[in-house]
Amino acid sequence: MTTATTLEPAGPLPSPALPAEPTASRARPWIRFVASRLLRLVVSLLVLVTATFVMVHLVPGDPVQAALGEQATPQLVELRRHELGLDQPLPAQYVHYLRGVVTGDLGRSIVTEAPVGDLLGTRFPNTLRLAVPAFVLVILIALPVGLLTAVRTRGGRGRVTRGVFVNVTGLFNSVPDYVMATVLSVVFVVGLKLFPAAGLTGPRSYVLPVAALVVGPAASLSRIVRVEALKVLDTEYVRAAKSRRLPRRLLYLRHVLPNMMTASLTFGAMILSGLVAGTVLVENVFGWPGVGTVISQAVIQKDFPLVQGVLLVLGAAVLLLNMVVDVLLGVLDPRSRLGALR
Amino acid sequence: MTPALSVSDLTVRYGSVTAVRSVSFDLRAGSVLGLVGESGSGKSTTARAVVGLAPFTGTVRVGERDASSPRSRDAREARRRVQMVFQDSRSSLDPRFTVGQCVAEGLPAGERRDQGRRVRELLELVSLDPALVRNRPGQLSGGQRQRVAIARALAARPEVLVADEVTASLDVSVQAVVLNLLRRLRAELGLSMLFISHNLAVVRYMCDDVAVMFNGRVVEQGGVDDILARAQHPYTRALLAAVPEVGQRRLLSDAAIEASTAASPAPGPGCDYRLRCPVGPAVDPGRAICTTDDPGPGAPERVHAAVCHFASTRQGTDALAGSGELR
Repeated sequence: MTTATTLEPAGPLPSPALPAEPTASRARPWIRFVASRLLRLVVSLLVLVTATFVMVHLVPGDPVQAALGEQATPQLVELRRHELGLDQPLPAQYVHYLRGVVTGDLGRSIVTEAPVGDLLGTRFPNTLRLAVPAFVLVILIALPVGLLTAVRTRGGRGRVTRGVFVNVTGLFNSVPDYVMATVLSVVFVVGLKLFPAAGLTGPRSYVLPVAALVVGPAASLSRIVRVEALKVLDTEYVRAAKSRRLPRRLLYLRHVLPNMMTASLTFGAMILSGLVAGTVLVENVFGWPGVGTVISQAVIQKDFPLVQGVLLVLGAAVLLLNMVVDVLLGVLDPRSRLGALR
Repeated sequence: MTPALSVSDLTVRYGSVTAVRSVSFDLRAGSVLGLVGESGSGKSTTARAVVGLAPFTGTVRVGERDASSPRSRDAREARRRVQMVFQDSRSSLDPRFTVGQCVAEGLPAGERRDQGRRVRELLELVSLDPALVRNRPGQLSGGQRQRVAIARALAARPEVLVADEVTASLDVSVQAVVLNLLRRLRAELGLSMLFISHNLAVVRYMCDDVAVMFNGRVVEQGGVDDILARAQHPYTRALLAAVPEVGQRRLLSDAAIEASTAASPAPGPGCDYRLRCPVGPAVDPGRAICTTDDPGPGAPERVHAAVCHFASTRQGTDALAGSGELR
């Protein structure tokens, strides 16, 4: 709230030609809008941190026993539990954990003793190297494909185009990404020997994991884009623009694209959040050195600080993505900004 | 004098449905022609065809130019001269655009440089405060929005304005404001107008001529006072009778009005209106011709070009001699 007061003009504007009222009220909603989204992000992050903490403690089995092996003596297990602070009451552990998260200390791996933060620092950029190009590609494919098919199939036209589009995207959409990854791997690595089988070894090693991540989300997002574009194409203001002989290019850029963005972006954010989970599976199929391979091992070894760390980072990525989309919607759609204040 | 807009033999088909059948009318330069009829009678489809939003056969001429073949240069110029105002301003203005952007988009390419000034002029022309340019349609009242839509249409400097039920979505008090605005614009700018409405009181106030549509066809047309006073087609009479007006004599009995709302257009040969006609074969078995012959071909010889076998002919012989039995 302090930011809102400092950024406001201190007194009436010097220019008498421009009344102070509208200018101030135009700047204020923006600040309040962004502030409310930031507050929401903080609350969500707190829920996320709590959830990762509770989740790990609810999982059956003793992580210390598992890490030390079945032969470990009870005394050794007890000693280790004390070292890790696991003998303290849960609320105390929670406060300790929370303090650690805020100061950037995510604890150490039970198995390797390495700091979780360091491991995430080396692995997470690799995951981003997969996820970011995949995000961008999904949007670059889905928007034009969805919009073009909408234009080709508007008002019941283009039956064949619609049939092909619906079936192909339906198929891609229904194949889980790990199956897609396996199929791609069998065809292009084992069969055609075009790409390396696993690991991050050069530009060519990106192709298959990114493709496996992109296909499903691109298919479902382009379906949503098509439906949204069809809705806009059927509105009276698009018809009014057509009656004014507005060139088609301008019609789509000015009226159709902005008006279908709200719904497309909202759905798109959900699909892209799912893509984060997809990276975990796809990384495992292609042996990609990101956080996905880390978490699957950590879960098996009950290395709970590591699991917590990865979940925290992935969860925060999803929340951040959603906030960016929210703010973007505010920029693109003046109505959602106003609506947030009512 | 060349009519501002001349439509002949206009037909619009959607798949197997024929929405408009062989409609012809002339809009005299500087006059207002009303298109009236019930919902589904084809008035809006006719308007959409005229501005190029519906595929049609037949000819549409704007002044000297043929607007029928969509790609020709003539047609493009003709289309600029015909601008449409839509029924619902809430949906016909892009919700994301500001008022200024909405109006500016209507400007012809040559006037973009002086955009700000032109937009303000246009807003003043439709009696809107130019300070509204930064507002969005959602922040305006229905009447203000409709005036923005009118300003946008006027931006292209049209000669013909097509107004499709422009007051149907407005409050009665606001309707009067918009109607008076249109009348003023017509006088100031010398606009010709194709005015579509189902409200006969509004049509009487606005129009010089009227064409009555039923089932995709113009069934009667002529001067507005003449049509209202001496309606030839029983459908027009039913429309007139449906208007509640203080002190007006009733043209039809209750039973006749009930019959007129009963059935949809009749299939097969004969008159489309025969099942609902209060003086037709459903009431009078002697009028067998209504079930066998299309009344269309003889229309040019009848008063108001009425599509009815029993309308008066121009020679003055009154086939509806027993018109007293209508009352």
